[in-house]
Amino acid sequence: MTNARIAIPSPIKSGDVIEIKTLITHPMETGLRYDSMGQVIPRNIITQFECRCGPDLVFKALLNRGIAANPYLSFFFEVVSNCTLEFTWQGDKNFYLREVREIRIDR
Amino acid sequence: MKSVLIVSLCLLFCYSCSVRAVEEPPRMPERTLTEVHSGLFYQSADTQALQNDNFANPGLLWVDRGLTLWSDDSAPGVPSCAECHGNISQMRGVATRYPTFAAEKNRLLNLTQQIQECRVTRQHHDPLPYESEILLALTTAVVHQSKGLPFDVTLDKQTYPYWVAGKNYFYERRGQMNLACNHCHEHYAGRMLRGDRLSQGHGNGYPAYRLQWQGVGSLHRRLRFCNQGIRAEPFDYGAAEYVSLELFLAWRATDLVVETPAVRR
Amino acid sequence: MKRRQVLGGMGAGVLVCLQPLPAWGQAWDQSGERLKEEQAQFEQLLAQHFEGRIPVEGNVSVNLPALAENGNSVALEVQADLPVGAARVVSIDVFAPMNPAPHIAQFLFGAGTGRAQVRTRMRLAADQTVRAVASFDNGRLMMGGAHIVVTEVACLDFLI
Repeated sequence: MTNARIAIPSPIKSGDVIEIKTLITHPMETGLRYDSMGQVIPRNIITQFECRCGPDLVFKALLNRGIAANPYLSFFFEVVSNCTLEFTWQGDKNFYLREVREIRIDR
Repeated sequence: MKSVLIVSLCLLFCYSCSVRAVEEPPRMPERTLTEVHSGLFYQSADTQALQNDNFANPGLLWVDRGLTLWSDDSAPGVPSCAECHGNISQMRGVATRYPTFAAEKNRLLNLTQQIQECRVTRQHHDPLPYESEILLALTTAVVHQSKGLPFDVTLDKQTYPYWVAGKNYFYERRGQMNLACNHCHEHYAGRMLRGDRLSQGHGNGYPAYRLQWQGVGSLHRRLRFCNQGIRAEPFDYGAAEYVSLELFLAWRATDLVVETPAVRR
Repeated sequence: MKRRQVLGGMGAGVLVCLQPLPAWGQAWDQSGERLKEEQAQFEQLLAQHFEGRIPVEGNVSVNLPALAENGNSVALEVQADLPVGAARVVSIDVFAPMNPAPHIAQFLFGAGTGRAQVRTRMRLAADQTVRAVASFDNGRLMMGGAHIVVTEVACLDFLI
């Protein structure tokens, strides 16, 4: 059961540089730990996060196992027009989650 | 003859005293802590900031999950929690009363066990392990509704024996290190145990996100970890000993408020 | 006679023991070795990721607490300001030279980012200087860093 939280401030005026925060459940297993039988627990991490405004890239993060579990990522975005933000997380074991948020400029 | 009379009078007196002690809980059990501090007080500034962050607190991911489960009515013929209990916000204040005596089970139950009870008897789900993700998420979500409220457990004729059991557990030495809970959590609270600062051992933030676990865990998980730390055999999850201890800890934390989901080391 | 011999022997023994001890500060400060190792690791990472180009110090700030109680989740903030001649930040690479996987993350910025500032939480396996290298659209590389001491390390301690 994966769930993600996304925070987008409001109200937004055209030209505002807003901070977008994201948080997602994921163990970010490093591949360095052992289970109770002495077997290595295989690596299982989120490798890529992407945020796009329509087709344009806003922010992309290529993550490695040094990122903490349940990864928190916040980045900035300059809002010039209404757009549909698409957030995607991809990782090991065919992990994939996509969330969509609308950005509306308040006059 | 006179000595026999004196002895029998003494025995009668002792007997009547003991009978009274079992029937009546003392009105005001004495508090042993002069100043009560939540575990948050003993965390670093970074950890405190993370707990107080209404977005980035990782425990809130479990609350979100619990909220989804609360209104989940996808299984046919199975009522969701919301159908009987309404909006989860109506659970405000409920967690402060647990552990409580459950008449239908004729024993003390904590909130996780009560949720399990509801799921099995009224929703006809299969019972889940105590530390399963679903029970954790639901418990975290329900306890979170009582955030900011002080503990309000009842000490009456039914719950008092459990309180005594919990108190005895707290002050009893155990494990290879032969330590009781009060040695670290009352005598040395605030002092360093290797790189860790000892807290007073309150459970007011549980289920909590522990950085060491990199996930949310229940108070029983933490108690098992404590037992293992002093090389004592831990009880099972959901053990009656831990539930009695929970009641004692909730009473001991009377001036503190619920902080779930807390962030701890 | 015998007591004097014993005392004399003890005194000599103490003097002998004290001889090899360097000055107190020197014996305690072993970080000279670690610093060299960390520096060597970082240079290797630069060679791997930037084809031998050496970043210039400046314009990049790394914000970390000075002390991390638990290395499993430490708040990290990196920010890059534009130097003269550059229109935008292309990417920021974060390195923790003493971690098992030293390349922590690479952050790539689109044209509409507005501000090249990222916050995340990272794992730390040892005391070290976490470094961030920013790459600008004019080809320049600049870097910054912050030192952190970790009480309970991540990655290498196994959890119960």
